[in-house]
Amino acid sequence: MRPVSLYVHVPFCRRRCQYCTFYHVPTTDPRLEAAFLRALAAEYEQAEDEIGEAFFFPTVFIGGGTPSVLDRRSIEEIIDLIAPRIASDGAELTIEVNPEDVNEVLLDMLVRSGFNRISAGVQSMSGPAQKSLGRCEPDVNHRALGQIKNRFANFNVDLLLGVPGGTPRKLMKTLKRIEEFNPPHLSVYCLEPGGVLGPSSNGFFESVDQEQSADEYLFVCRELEERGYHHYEVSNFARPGFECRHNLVYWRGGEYLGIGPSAHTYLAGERFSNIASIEAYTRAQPMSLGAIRRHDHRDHSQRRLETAMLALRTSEGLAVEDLHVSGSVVDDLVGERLARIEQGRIVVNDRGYLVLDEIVQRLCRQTDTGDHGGADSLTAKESNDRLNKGF
Amino acid sequence: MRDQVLDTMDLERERGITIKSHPIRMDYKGADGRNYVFNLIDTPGHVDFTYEVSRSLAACEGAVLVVDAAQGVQAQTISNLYLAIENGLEIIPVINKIDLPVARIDEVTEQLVGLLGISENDVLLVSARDGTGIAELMEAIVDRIPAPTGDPEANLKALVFDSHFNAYKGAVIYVRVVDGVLSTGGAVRLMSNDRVFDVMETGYFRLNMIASNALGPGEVGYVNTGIKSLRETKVGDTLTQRSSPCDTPLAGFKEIKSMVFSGLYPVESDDYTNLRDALEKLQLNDSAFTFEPETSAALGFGFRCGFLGLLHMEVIQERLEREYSMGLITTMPNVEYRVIAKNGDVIVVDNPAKFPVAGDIDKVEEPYVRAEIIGPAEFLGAIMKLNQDKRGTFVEMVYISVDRVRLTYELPLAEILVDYYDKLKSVSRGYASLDYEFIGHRPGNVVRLNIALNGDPVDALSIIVHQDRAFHWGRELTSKLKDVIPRQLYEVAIQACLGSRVIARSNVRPLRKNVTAKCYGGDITRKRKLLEKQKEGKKRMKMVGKVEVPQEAFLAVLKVDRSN
Ligand SMILES: Nc1nc2c(ncn2[C@@H]2O[C@H](COP(=O)(O)OP(=O)(O)O)[C@@H](O)[C@H]2O)c(=O)[nH]1
Ligand code: SF4
Repeated sequence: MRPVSLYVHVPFCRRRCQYCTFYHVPTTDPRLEAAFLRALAAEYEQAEDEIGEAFFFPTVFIGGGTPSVLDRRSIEEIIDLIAPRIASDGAELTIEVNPEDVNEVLLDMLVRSGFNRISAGVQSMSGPAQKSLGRCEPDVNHRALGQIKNRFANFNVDLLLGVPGGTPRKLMKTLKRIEEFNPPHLSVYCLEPGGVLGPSSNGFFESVDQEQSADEYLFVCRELEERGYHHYEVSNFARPGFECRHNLVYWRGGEYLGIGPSAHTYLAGERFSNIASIEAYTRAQPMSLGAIRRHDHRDHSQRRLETAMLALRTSEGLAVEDLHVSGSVVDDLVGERLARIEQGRIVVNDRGYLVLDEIVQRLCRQTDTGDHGGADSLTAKESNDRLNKGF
Repeated sequence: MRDQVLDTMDLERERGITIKSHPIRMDYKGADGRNYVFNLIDTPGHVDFTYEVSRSLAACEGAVLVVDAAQGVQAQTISNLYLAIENGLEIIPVINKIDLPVARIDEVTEQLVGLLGISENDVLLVSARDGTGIAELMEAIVDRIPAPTGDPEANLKALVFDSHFNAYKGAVIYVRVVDGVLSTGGAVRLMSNDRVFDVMETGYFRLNMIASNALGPGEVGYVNTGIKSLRETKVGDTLTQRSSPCDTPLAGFKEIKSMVFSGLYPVESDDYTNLRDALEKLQLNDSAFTFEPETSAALGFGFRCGFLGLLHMEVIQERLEREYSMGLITTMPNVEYRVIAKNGDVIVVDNPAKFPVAGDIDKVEEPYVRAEIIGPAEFLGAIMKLNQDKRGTFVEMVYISVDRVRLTYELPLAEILVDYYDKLKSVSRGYASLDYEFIGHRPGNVVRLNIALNGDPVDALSIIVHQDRAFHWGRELTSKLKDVIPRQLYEVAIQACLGSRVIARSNVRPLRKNVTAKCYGGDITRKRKLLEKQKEGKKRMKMVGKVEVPQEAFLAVLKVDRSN
């Protein structure tokens, strides 16, 4: 049977966070929620038909927005909808929660519904940082993490770096407070200047400093690696064996179905994106995939770029053989200590992750125009051989 | 009618300049009731295109010298005037735009009277905008300019004064018939190379070309030759009958020589052949533009191009980018040096990268120009200081009216290439004008300054500078390059060197962070698009070794402040 992972996008949030770059609507209107569930079910059925042949979900990820703002019965409804296709054995079922929403009743219901992984949007354990981000008090995070830890062996803590006013020392405090819960998984993201909402009224996000983000990132990488975490993707750290299988599907080029507004799908080598509008999504009556999703056409070189960019995000790296650049490009990256070669694969290190886009550009520079190398350029294969010989 | 009807290139219209000469014929019924035919040629004013003026003047009996009532006599007014005098033309001085509130009619009249030694009454006052004085101008043309003489019965003798290339018709030459009759179907010969052909079509110019069967003495028109290249139809040549040629050809034109050189390279090396095709096409209609293949270790395959001046260079570059939509890297423009080597060899260097090492050089000669500057007397001091700073030698100063002076200096052409014109405009609040002509090579104490990126000299960034300014240039260049080279994956060390001696340095720190946000919810497309957008930005960059160098870097020198 064909494994296809499932992503469900729940677009509702209690309020809007200024730094947010995800599609969301700051409302919890029950009528809209009902309409969303109806549309979601309709989309799901259509997608099932479209895939046709037998398939199952090895992983499910319910994200958003904030899935934890949904009515408990709505969450159960979603699970009922998809349950028949969830792998009977060892499926990974993740749901994102906002620490503010966490309580015993919710967690009970999640356990009963079969969820076995929680992703908590903690962001920071510093009061001023949480305040400037418009997030909850650190104590709320603290209580939520305690409750989650009691019920779930596998959970993730999201942290935000580059919050104006932050320093590695302040970050250390956050790490210390989280250490108490020994989370099996952490995701760290850098605040991006501006976000999608454009300039903020108070100039707060414009003051996001890339240098500070970089310092904090390297600091976190070092601290977590020292504590035995496996830095298996740019933003992701896990105790060995706790890597997020769902996310690995994205990076390794596995198939996934995404439902809900703004969700993304990758099936049979083709990518689709759903319309990022709850109105358009719920109003498509009768629901048809054609009306709510767009096919993202990619040519040969774009597909290659994707493969490279995804593989380079992970600690698995990219086979040097698959590159179409001269060997010196790889040599330079290694020489400047931004990457290393492991068994014929180029693997970016922490400093390299910070400038990953640049690295991808360099490594893909000539991919689409063929070999330009002059007399002194080597094929990737030759360079690989050379590197393996150790010079 | 819209403005600038004769300026047909987009570029001419946008910049409000005339680059090509444009002939046009006009019928006129005189006050005396007789019908006249005027053969008119509109000419450019900028110094780079002086040769266009001199050719056109050779085809004429008289010249209407138009001076702007607000701006007064300009430096190029004077050089064009002298050209007209040399050609023995009757000159009608005209002050145009007298409708402008800022018109300074008395002062400009005084300038013209002084310049031409004429009486005030000879100067015509015109407003092309509202028509004032146009009737008088027409009559003056009839009265003052002699009708062409020439014998229609004699053997054909016509001056080729311009040409253009048409994909269907081949070389189209512009002629002024002196003697005889040029007719469609006629068997003709170009005297310089004995190239013979049959006239496919002949005619005259209105706004378009109008076919007519024949052109007689005094008439200006065109000839479709059917010849597949402009190389054989030299401007300045004499067109005559095939069977019975005239005895002596007309005096031709001086061969025009490129004065300014620069390397042109495609950003994408794949574009090399496209670039060559485009250059060839441009050259078809612009024989003043030359190019030959060259290679640069840093930039790969490209061309060394020769231009008449900076404006000419800009025009060509802009046309390439615009009409052939091509990403180009232009290296710093330079002049042509004559290097006399210790072993006695004379080497002509038009590319700084080819400049011999100091130890092999006995002496170097650089091109000099005589520059005429006209400007308000109040800025005299500033203008003189500028010329001194630019290694100029004072020749003379003449007041052309109470508060306008004409200054003459001899300067190295190289000094004019960088920012002379901008500086002149700025020290004179835009009022001074410049014109110059080449006067020969003179000894110059110049050296080659190399720029190295991460220790490797980049040939395309080398420049030739005056010895005394080398340190200043080195400092300025390294700091300018530091600003234009973006932070990137690796640190970039920029050094300016004289031979092996580093005289200035700067550093571009490596990029700290450039990674697009999380890859969340499987949205791979957005990330890929972000990368593609970044990649688009990199299109204008050239990889030199492992350094990404933006196009502007190669012109950074132009922006160097050399005033101190
Ligand atoms: N006010 C005014 N403007 C004029 C007159 N004649 C020309 N112009 C303007 O001057 C500009 C330059 O004209 P153009 O014929 O291209 O001048 P050229 O470049 O010297 O050949 C155009 O914008 C014209 O509209 C005039 O008599 N009065
Ligand atoms: S809760 Fe999450 S999805 Fe909602 S606005 Fe905040 S960051 Fe965005």
